[in-house]
Amino acid sequence: MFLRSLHLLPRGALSSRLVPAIIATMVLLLTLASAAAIGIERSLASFQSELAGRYTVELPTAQTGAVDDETVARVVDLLAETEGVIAAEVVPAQTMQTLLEPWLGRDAAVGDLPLPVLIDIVATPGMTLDPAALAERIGKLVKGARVEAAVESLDEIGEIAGAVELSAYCVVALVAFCLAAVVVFATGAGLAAHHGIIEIVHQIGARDRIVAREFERRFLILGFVGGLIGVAVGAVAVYGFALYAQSLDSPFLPAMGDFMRALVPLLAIPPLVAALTTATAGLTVNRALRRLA
Amino acid sequence: MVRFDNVGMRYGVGQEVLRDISFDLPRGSFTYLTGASGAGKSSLLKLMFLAHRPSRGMIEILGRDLSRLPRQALPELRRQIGVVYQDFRLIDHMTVFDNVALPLRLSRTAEAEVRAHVDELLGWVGLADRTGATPPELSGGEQQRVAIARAVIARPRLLLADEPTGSVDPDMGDRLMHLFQELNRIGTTIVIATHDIAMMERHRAAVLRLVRGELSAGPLTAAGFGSTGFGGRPH
Repeated sequence: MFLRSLHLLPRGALSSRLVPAIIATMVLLLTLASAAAIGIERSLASFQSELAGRYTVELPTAQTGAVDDETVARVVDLLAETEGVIAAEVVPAQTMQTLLEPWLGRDAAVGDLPLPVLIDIVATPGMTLDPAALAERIGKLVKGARVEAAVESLDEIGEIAGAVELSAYCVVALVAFCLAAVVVFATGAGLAAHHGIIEIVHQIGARDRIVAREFERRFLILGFVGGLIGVAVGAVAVYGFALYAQSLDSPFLPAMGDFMRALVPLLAIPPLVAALTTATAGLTVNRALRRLA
Repeated sequence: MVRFDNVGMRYGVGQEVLRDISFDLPRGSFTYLTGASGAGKSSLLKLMFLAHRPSRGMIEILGRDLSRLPRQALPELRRQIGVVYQDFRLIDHMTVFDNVALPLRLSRTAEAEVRAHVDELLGWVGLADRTGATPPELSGGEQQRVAIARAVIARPRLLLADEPTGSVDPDMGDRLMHLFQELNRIGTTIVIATHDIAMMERHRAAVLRLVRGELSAGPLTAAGFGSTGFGGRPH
């Protein structure tokens, strides 16, 4: 019944090329902003899961002097015997050199620096270690030893990522608002352009609902088609970005499959946009018609 | 059926274009509304077809007091009133058939019934071969006949026509008047605004005469019959 039309408006009355183009562009922005929000959320989750269960033991050498290999081996043994630890491995000098390269340069004599000895610990999945208690036990072998959960270092990054994610969702809301505003203006223009027809059918006895339905029907189609085009273009752009991100092979980024699966809900954008444009057009027309005698 | 009691009407904040209009048209009456250009005929018709609200007074149409009628009841009432506008007001992108079918479709008549009624009526007004044309493709006289067909297709209880024979030749004018009389015979109350004194003489009926926004009791000049007729009763 909703799609049955009396064709009160001329064909193409509201679909000047501009209106669908604007709707498609808005939906493209909506898709990109949503994908960005989802991408950030997934990246953070991926990074968190990557670092969950990982701890670093730091054996200082600045005040106490170099820690000999035998002490380091005893610390590793202690860690290996600790409940919940499945691996404890000293970070090799070569890795330290690589980590410090960006700050000290390729040819820096890292060996001359009082660098701490670092030991990476991997905990049994699902188990949480107590860094303070562990540091206290290691402290009996090496004074000033510290233990840090890797995830703790993510707290600030998490806050920043959360803020960016929130901003992306604000952009989504803003674009949706602008889309509704475009529909209000386009409907108003349509009402003004076809005022004569509306007055005639009103005079013949058409209820407001029938006139509103004509506009709703047009905007349902415009919203859905514009939504499809916008999402299709957006999907190509997001896929291109995902391919590029995958080539970076960064642990900060989620796996390609995971990311694309997370984007599946974006397929709901065209029907949601169609619902938004339809409802906005209907409300606008009903409001305008109430002013008629 | 149609009752005006001390009605005044103005556009915006301007002077009243209709003043102290009172009359009573019984059910099934046939009335001419006449007067010079600018006398207020079209304004009076606008009040009757609910396109404008009076600035004062009481109007009763088809037994409903307009001042007490909620807005949502207007479409139902309008569907019982057929209107032939002086400027036809056809919908240009619709075919002749669809223009005429519109009142039936708005009242959700079955499509088979719509087709039968519209075809029959278009044949009657001599437009059987023009059903697929759009109004811009028609002559003025043809457009007028489409407008009349649209006004009468749903067999309204009240038919209001503003110069309905102004754009057709005398033969077609008489044919259309017969159509109105036919409708009148089956109970439709008819009000026709016209300048055409010759036609009024050929098809005699009651007359309401407007002079500068007021109903006049004076005699019609050329026609020789009084301003009050058999149906229209100014009071």
